[in-house]
Amino acid sequence: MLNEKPSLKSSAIALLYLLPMLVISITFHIYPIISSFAMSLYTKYDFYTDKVGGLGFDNFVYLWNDPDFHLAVKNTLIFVIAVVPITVILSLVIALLLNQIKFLSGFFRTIYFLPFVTSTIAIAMVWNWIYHSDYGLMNYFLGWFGIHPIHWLTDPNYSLLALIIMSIWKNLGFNIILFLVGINNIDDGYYKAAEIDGANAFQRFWNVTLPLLSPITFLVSINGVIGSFKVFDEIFALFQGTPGPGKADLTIVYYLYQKFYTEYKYPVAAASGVVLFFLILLVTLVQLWYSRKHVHY
Amino acid sequence: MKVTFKDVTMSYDGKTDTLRDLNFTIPDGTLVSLLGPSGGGKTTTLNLISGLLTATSGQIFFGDEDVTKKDALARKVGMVFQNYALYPHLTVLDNIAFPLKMAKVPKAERRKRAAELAALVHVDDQVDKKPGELSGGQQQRVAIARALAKSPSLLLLDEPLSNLDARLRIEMREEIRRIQRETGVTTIFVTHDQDEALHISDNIMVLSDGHIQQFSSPTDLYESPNNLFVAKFIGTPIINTIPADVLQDALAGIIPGEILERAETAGIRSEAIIPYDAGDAVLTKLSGSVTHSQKFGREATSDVTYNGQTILSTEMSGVPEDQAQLDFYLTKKGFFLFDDAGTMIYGGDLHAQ
Amino acid sequence: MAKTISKILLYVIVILGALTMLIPFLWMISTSLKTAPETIKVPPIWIPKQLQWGNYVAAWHAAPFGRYFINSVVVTTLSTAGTLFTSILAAFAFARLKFWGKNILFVIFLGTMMIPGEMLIIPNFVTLSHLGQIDKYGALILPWLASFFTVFTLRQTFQSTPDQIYYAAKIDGASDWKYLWTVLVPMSKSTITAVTVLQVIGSWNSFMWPLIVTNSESMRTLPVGLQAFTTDAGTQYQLLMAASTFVIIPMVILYIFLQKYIIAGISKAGLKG
Repeated sequence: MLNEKPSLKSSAIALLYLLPMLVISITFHIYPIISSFAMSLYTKYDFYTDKVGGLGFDNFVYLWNDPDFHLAVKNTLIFVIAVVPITVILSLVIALLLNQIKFLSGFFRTIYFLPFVTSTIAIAMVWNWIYHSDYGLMNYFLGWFGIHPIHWLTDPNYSLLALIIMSIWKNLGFNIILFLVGINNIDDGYYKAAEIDGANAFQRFWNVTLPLLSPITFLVSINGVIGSFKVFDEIFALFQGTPGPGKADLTIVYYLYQKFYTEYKYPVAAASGVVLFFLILLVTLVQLWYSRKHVHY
Repeated sequence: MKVTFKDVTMSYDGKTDTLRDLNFTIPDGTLVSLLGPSGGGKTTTLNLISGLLTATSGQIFFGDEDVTKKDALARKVGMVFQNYALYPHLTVLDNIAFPLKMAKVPKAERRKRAAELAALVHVDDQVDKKPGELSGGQQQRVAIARALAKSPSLLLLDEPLSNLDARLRIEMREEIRRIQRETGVTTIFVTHDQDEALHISDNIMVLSDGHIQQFSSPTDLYESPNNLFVAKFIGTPIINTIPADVLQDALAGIIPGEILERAETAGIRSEAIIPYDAGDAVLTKLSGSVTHSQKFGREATSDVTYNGQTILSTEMSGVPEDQAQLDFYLTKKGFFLFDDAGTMIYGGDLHAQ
Repeated sequence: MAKTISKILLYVIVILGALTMLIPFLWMISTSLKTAPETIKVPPIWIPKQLQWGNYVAAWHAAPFGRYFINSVVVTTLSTAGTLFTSILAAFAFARLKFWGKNILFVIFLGTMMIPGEMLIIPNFVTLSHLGQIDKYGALILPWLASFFTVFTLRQTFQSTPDQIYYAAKIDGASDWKYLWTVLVPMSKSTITAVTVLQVIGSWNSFMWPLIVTNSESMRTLPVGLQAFTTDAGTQYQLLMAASTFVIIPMVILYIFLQKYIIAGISKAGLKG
């Protein structure tokens, strides 16, 4: 009973409970992880017979020498560096503002959160239309400020920016929710104490809210980084199945998709997946290391 | 159902024993309290009876049947938990009927039985509510009804009143007593509140440090404690304890010398210190002074200084403070001597009249 | 006075922000109700002269959206139900049962959550094509019948239900299996609703995987079908926007009705995960 130690019988029973999940997980999550690491080392591979001709680092050498892959990494990094900080700051600000208002606050929360539940593909169609250089809303609004029409989706200089703007818009809601939860979790006592200590509104924000929100900020940025590194759907829909004008929106996952799905270079695609994994791991570790020093719990 | 423990030892981690070599028999149809400080082994004992815990060694019998290896279900016990542990998503009636549902009793029958039990515990007007809508006392009643639903061999209650406020606690303990009498089910009640235990139990088992300190009727527990621990644990205000040496002269000739010699501590209940000579009931006469008096409602306490020791009396309310010298009396009842191991060597049943 | 001004300013900013969030949706609906010439009016008009509800019918019939819709419903329903089933069982084992290797197994699964799902696409595609499931429901559903994220969230909830309820159920004669389905699952209703809704949204909106494993038109899910439709619709934005609207609408309705569960789910999962 309660003080029972795990035994053969109790383990066997537990296994029955775990079995359905284990079967699916091992087949479609665990085995593929091992398999894709292995596949990235295949130098000769026949998909139809599943025969491996040799092992080596050829695929990584291929990536090292492929200007497309360099471009994909560069675009991905630009995308992450632009999207994550802006999303984090904007969503923090909006969460703080939403937390200040009482009237209709539920209604506003609903609106801000709406993009999260929306199909990326469908909403990217809408943005595709908004970005239309002749009849799109974006250029129309910019026209109010005397800005000449921009070829958002066909000019390589602007197409990555177009992707970034849409992605920030789509990601805001999710992060606002997390920040709102974090803000609500802060004990009112801290504010009262700070007020008694003579802290003004800004000092309270700077010395109470911000440090106490740092775990959430950390979480939001990790989530943001991981999500942004994997951007794909937005590109596919916004540029209608192309990686943007002159590959200006080619990202790592898009590269993986191309190598895998249109060029059938499975091992190269697998290798790019491995690179993606290590990039994410590296950035996450850097963030963890940074948070150890700066996140207050 | 009679419950017997034979040399039961329980260890959670395999190193320290929470209970060691427990031996006792709980007679059929009685209400027994397990009383003691927290960490004393009360709840562990209860869970061993329930079958939620398995003993490390020893045997447990229900009647003549060895149930040591049987689980909670097979032992057919009913149990009431401290926080009631009602199923929040089920109505009161469904909560009470849950054990019957698990036993595959037909729906009509279990509804009927549940309704009867709801009437027994006086929640028959609440049966369609969810537990969250009930007060603590009502939830406790429902929990008792649920525990009784399967006509259990034993009714086990784990600190059932500790989440209730003081007034309700008294009401509910009377209720538990009433329900126990009406159903006649052997009931085992865990509590750390001596007042509760003294009021409702047929017998009380005092547990501390994994041992039974005393297992006897409430009166015996108070009037004839086995040892210093029980004497101190039972009774409010707490028993006065002073070194036996202090009384050496006053007791010489009254108590046999060989007992006085071994006596280490004297225990004197506050009502055993009286300001008048009560004749045969009196053990000895002492003299001291009242240094401080206090009155709380109908209770009054006085600090009496005797031979450099301060002892508390509840019988001296009329006596003025700071009288230089005052004669007062110790009664035989409520006076105990303990040896250096804490065992009682004089007083109570040992030397009753 | 200063307080009133800052209050007004606050609302102005919040409303402007909300408008930014809403405009794409409004623009989508507005366009979907225009005639073709109206869509390219400069300056743009927000409310068409006559609402062209016919656009929705035209878009629905311009591509096999009925079929896509059925596919999406089937895939979403089965993969969500399957995930719930496998996750509830596994979460219960992790939360309550005693077995060898529990901690190691749990850490391994936590570790797999670090792996980008995109890495799994190639081996899974290979596996499923060897199983002959490509371009079938099997490929669309099978890999999504388990989610460790869901297991993890449910485990937290299961662990936070009081031990005494479990003991009470044992005393009352419930087996582990009975306890799980008659007590624990009903008690965890709100978390289960939350993870269900998140699963449904994720499954309904998923794109890359269905894009890769479907070849024939009849197997496409809504997002894939919608994407393919852009090639056919060309510049007929009123039809495109109508199609986008009916892809988005089901989740928006779901969201509006179950908002509190979604938000609770995100905060629960997000804050712990």
